[in-house]
Amino acid sequence: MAAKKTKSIQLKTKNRSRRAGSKRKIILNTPEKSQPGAKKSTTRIPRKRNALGVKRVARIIRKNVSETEEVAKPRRVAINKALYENSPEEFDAPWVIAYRDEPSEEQTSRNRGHMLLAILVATLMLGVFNSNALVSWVRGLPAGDIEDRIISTTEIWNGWMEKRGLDEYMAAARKYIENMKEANW
Amino acid sequence: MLFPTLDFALFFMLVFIVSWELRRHFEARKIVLLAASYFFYGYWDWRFTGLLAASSLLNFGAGHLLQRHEEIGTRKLIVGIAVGINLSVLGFFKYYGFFLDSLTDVLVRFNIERDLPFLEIILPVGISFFTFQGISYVVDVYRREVKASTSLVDLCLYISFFPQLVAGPIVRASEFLPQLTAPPRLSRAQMGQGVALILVGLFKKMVIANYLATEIVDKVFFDPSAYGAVDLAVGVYAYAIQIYCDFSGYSDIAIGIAALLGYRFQRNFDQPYRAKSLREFWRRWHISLSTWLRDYLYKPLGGSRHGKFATYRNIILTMVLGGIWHGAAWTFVLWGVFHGVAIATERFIVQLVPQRTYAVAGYGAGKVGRILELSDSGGRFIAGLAGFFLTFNLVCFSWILFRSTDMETVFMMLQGLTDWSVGPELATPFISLLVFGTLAAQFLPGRWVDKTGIYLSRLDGITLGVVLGAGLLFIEAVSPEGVAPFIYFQF
Repeated sequence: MAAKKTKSIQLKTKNRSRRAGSKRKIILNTPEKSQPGAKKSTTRIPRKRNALGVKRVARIIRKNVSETEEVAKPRRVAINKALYENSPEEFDAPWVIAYRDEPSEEQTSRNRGHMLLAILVATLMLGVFNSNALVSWVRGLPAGDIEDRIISTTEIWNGWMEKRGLDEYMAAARKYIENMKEANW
Repeated sequence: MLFPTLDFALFFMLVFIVSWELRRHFEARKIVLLAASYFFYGYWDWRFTGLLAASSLLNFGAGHLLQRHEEIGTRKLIVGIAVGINLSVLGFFKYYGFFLDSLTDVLVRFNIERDLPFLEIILPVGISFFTFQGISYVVDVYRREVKASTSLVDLCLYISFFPQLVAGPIVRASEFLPQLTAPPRLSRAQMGQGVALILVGLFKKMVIANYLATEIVDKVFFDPSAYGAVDLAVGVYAYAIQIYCDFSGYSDIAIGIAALLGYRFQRNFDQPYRAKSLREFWRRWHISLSTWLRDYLYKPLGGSRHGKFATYRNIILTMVLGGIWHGAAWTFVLWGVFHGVAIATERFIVQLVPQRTYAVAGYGAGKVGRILELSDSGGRFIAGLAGFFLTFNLVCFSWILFRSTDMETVFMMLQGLTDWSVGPELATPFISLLVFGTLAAQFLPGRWVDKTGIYLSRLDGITLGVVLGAGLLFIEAVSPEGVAPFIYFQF
């Protein structure tokens, strides 16, 4: 999606909310390819901090975005976090700096969901293929009505899994290991 | 609560869900993680949660005082008192019994009988780790390498964070405290790394370490006289692999769990058995402890700045104290002495060997240059191979001291290693495969676990779950019954 240049220095960013006054987020990573035909911009930013470093970086960022150019994709520059923190006033509003490898709040939410889903799937697999171990564990719970109900439910579940032969895979793997252990020279 | 148990799995799932739900309220999140850490620690023995809290308060107070005072004398006094109290607590719980036993032995030799005040002291789990962590915080504040934490919750969480509380890695305040003040984030890379490390760690601990312990190591060290040299030799190698898999497995799981909670820890082991020298071995083995000893013991003693003999003295002292840290027994002291003397000797020999000049001057053009280059690289390869072989066997010899419960067992092991008349009984193909297969895996590319993590990070949630589930099922299927405690819990 193209963005027209305005007077103030703004890069087209991944921030899709285009409300007036909304902060533009710059994803700071290695420079990305520009659109076909356009000049490739590969800007290397010095890693080390020095007295001129921050101003130099800000100049380079501004230079990358000329007032007459249209960009289809955000320009990206790599920046040292320390450089930004040293003189944040150089990167005045509406810039919001995101650092390399650091996910945003939205990405964290998505990743958390992915991980929860992964944990649930893994738990389900353990419950299906290793229901024996679950029965052994719940039998170690202290006595009580709720615990008894949990134990009986788990035993019923284990029975279903055994009927369908889903516990055979684990038993086969264990048998294979036992045979390997007993092998001699 | 041990890592490879269903209790811990349920505990971690709950902590994961609640902590990430609170990611926008990260002060509340830290309180939840702190409460979870104290629950985790109290699961062993609730009485020692008070000790943990007291240690955290002491270090917080010392840091706070150091931040307020600028005079060098006052600062030295504060850090001295704080370190002294930390070490006294550690010394009381860990070394009181050992000290009295040794004193009794000495008095008996001189026919002196005394009723010494013996006490039944239970060693708090992980005391060596969280005490060293507290000391590193106070000393770093004293050295102005890190600012004193203004938040008691942060400092308490730094010391008691449950993944690394009982068996390390020993995390530095400069690494962890800034992560606690930043908003928590979870990247795909951390997810992939976490899952990869947890699976690798569980496999090392539950399969390799447990089998080696139950099938050969415990048997040969219990009664060395019952076995021949082949079984004893393989048993010693098996212990080297067992302790590596046990400890690095725990560290991997701890780092993986921390990654899933959004925190990054440094690696604690870096394929130590591929080292070509003892110095390299200690740069790869228990990295958090060896760097702690270097920064807080070796360098304050003077390091290598005051001549050769002072350097050797400092090396030996550091390794002896490192050995004592591991346990209250003379075998640990001897283990430390062995490593100290060996490293000092190695340093002495290296300084005697003349530097090669070819690599500096260049091999030159033509056939002669090519021959020189080939012979140089061939020589380096042979030297490397010899270095690996010698280092590995020296380290394994030292493990005899480390593992034996007393000197009698050490002598029986050494005597038994000379008797090659008896064939192998415990050194079966399965055990040999575990030992030498794990040793061969030391030569895999250094970052293979990280690369596996990167691959896993590209998977979607369901596929990642299938991989995780399949990995856990495989480990559960091939591991022996029961869960043995981690070796480093006793330290």
